[in-house]
Amino acid sequence: MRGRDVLAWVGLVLIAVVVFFPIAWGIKTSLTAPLGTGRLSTPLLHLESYRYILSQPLFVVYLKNSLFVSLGAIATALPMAVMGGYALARFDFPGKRLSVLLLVLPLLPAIAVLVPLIVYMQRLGLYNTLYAVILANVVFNTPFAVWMVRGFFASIPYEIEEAATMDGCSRLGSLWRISIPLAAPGLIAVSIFVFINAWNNYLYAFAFTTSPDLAVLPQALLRFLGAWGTNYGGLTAAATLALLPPALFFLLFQKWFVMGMVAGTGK
Amino acid sequence: MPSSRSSRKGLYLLSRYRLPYLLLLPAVVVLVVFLAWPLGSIFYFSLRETPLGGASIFVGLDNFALLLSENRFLNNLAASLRYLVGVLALSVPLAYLAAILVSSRLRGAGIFRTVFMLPWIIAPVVSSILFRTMVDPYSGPITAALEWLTGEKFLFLVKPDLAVLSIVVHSAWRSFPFEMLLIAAGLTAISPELYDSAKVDGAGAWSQFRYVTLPLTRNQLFVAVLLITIWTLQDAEGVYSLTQGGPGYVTEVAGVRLFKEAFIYFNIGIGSAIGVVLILLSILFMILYLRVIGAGESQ
Amino acid sequence: MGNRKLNRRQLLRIGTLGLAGLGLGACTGATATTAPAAEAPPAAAAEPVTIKWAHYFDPLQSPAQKFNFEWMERMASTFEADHPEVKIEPEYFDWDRIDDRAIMDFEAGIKHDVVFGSPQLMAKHFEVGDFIDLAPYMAGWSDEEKTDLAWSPVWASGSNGDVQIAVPTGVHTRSLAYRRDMFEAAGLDPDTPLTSLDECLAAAQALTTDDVYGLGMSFGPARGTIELYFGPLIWHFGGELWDPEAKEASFASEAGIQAANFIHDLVYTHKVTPESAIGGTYDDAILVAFLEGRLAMGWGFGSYWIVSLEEGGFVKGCFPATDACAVDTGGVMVTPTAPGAQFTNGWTLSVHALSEHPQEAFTFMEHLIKPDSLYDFPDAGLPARLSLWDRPEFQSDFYQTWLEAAGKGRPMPATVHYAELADTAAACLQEILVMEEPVEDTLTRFQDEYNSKYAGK
Repeated sequence: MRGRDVLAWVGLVLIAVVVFFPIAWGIKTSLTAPLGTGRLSTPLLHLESYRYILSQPLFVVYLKNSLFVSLGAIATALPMAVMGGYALARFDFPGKRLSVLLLVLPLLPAIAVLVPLIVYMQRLGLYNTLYAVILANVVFNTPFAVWMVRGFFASIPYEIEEAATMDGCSRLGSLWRISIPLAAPGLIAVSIFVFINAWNNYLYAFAFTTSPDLAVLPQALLRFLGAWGTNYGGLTAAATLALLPPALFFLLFQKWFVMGMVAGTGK
Repeated sequence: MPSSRSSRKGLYLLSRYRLPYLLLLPAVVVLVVFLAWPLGSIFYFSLRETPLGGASIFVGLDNFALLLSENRFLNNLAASLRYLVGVLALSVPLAYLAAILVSSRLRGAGIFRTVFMLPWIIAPVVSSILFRTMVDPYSGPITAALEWLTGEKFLFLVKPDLAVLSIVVHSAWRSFPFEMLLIAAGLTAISPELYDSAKVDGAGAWSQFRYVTLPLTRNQLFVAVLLITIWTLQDAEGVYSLTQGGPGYVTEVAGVRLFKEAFIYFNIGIGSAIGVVLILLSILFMILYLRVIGAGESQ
Repeated sequence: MGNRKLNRRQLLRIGTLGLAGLGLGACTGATATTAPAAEAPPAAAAEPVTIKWAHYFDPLQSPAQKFNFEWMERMASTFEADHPEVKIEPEYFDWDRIDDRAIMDFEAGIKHDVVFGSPQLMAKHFEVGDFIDLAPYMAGWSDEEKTDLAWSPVWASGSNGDVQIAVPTGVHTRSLAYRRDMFEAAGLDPDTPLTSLDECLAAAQALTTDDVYGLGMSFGPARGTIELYFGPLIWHFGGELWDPEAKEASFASEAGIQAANFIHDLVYTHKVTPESAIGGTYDDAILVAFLEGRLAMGWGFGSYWIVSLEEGGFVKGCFPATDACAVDTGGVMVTPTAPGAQFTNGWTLSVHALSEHPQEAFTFMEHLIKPDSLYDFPDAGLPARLSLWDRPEFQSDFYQTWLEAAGKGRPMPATVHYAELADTAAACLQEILVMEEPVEDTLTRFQDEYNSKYAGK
């Protein structure tokens, strides 16, 4: 038994090393690379790169944009996922198969559809707005979100809702008062999923916005690959800073996220 | 009279099922408007040529003919497949291993789960640049370590095999946490008695895995593999930031080619045609997985 | 830009004041005064005008970009001081996307005013028409003024007959940077420039040691590979990358084969050029390698890196340029290829076709290309104006070498599909270097790939 445990520990640590090594390298670079584009790094640790990034007002703009897009994506996708997931979990209706097909559609390569989508956004007057970016994120995250919420609702025994309906609650009322609170872990899981995808996404912002002050963090990070050299210190410092919100978000709600994933993907 | 009967039936259906229809309406509307229509127009664009600053003209299947007879595009497809197979081959076993370890009754295993999620939480743009610096021939730690071990300086972005290895390792590193999560979710549903009875029957670790774990995580595996396949097939920024598709066209996967054609060269016709091919490829894989791994949901 | 809101408020203030002023003027029967138009012909705007300025200086990117950014702010504020009715609004774009953005925005109906551009993509701009013809606006210039700017290949890329869509702000060119101390150690005279490929190769062989490569080059998956290495060598051997008559790629010619073989031999036969040059970036392969002492000579060393030579102590008093500029352990010589077999480019300024204030935009441009303004512009590299070259600080041997190099350069082929051409040719060279196939076959294969799509365009 003990031997087995040791082996398991070794395995965990090994994988952790593989996982963490690139990140550790990035953090190390952010603390030792000199400002500017030279690459002769000093062995001393310093916070110059961080200080520099945080002193740029533009960085705050990028941060705000990323937050706006990510939170906006959650705010739009979550209600849709809840409603759709509930419908698919609790009801049987003609056309159910069709709606499943519709959910599969966004699984197709987003990059393939981007070009017509750009034209489309232009016609709708949404081109060069963050709303277009939010919409794109919502559209391509919907299948997984609905599927997860559906799975979660399916895992909640129907008797609870039945009891509520018999107590005089309407169908929707029981959804609102009973099912949703019970499904909180699943909703958290979906929110984290959508947040991370939206936060890290480069392609949609790149395609749908052109104004420099609408840029999001991933675009800002690529800017460090400059014309006359790469500012690795600034790049890794900004990347580390950009990593914090989703990592924090995940850390805080980790337990619920796992619960949500387990229930949502089981069955 | 059949017409009024069918319309009455239609109205009846609408009213009887109005709640689920209403609930699904927002999602359906958004998807139809923002996805189904553009999906249709990509087929439209792929049949036309759109010169810069001019109006588009119908060219029929010319774009497809050009692509399918072009060595470069056939290589793009081959590169995409190489990329996909490599990523799955590397990430799925690792995901299973990590899932099993993380779900064990070991104290602190949960903390590892959070750590393992990090590659998924990082932006692809960032991780690919990080990997690129790690394999830099003069300042990269991996190159340095390998040189210390073998005395040879490995040129990861120069040698074709190593370049492919670089993008595969990078993508597998990014993909395995998500797969691990899904598989771990499935593992929790397996009751330990099944393993106990297998052990009683004399099954070793590998047989337990093969006959208990694997079949009972089928659904999760299906979803995981499907999502990672789709994601890998369309990956552009992850590969582009690492190798730009080089050396030559060795790592120019279809996603990168699409990105270049559509967003750098503005060849809308060719870009759309590549998009159509990618979509068809994705559908093919979906059907393949449904057959092999079995239907995920009984809908 | 964090002060966008402020701009709007300021604009509103100016706007209401202006309107009030007009209103008052109308009441008292007085006519509105014309704005002080110092340089331009009739521009009677008394209403506030915002001129957008698309640039690529990101202070976030590096402190070195700070100098460019500060120059930009200086230019904007001095212009606004002279023209109180004009507000300059800088907008940042990635340096390698700024041309594409101008084109994409033109097609999407998004307006810009003054835009930086690159010469290689001028053919595309001509085709799309997103930059206006500046010739009518330059009608007032003297001949002297015109020649002062029109001498460089950068000007030429913005010309098509009588139409001129871009004005150069600087000149970027490359030379062969070398380590004078390493030359001496190898028994070579650091003051005698190499004048032929054979001499260059011989020197490289003498200079290569266990730790140092004699001749640094860059063959990464980027356009620089074509612009600085493959292209110039093809030109040197008498060929062309692209045939302007037939409008076809022509790099699979005899000259192409010779150039490819020359490069291949440098890496694998003579081993004077590192193999790692095939995979990395241009600045890693040349700038960083040279600064770190891994190269005795760096082919394709850019004029935009003079600052690094200064910071590294290889030259003294050369950045900012002074008349005491002298070389120390590092120096530059003109790349030893035939005349006209080098690439010269530089950033240009243009006026976007959707600009609502082309006249004001052009006036602002004139402000930017004034000799004093350009002299101050860090990213100009080398002076765009001939007159500036006569200044004492550019008389040193060091700078005169750069002037010679700049004059020897030529622009890239003026094809709309330049980007595809450069990328295809770069991929071709890479495959020649990493695969074992015959050079001629690979060249032909890639040339056919390009021509099957773009021949005649």
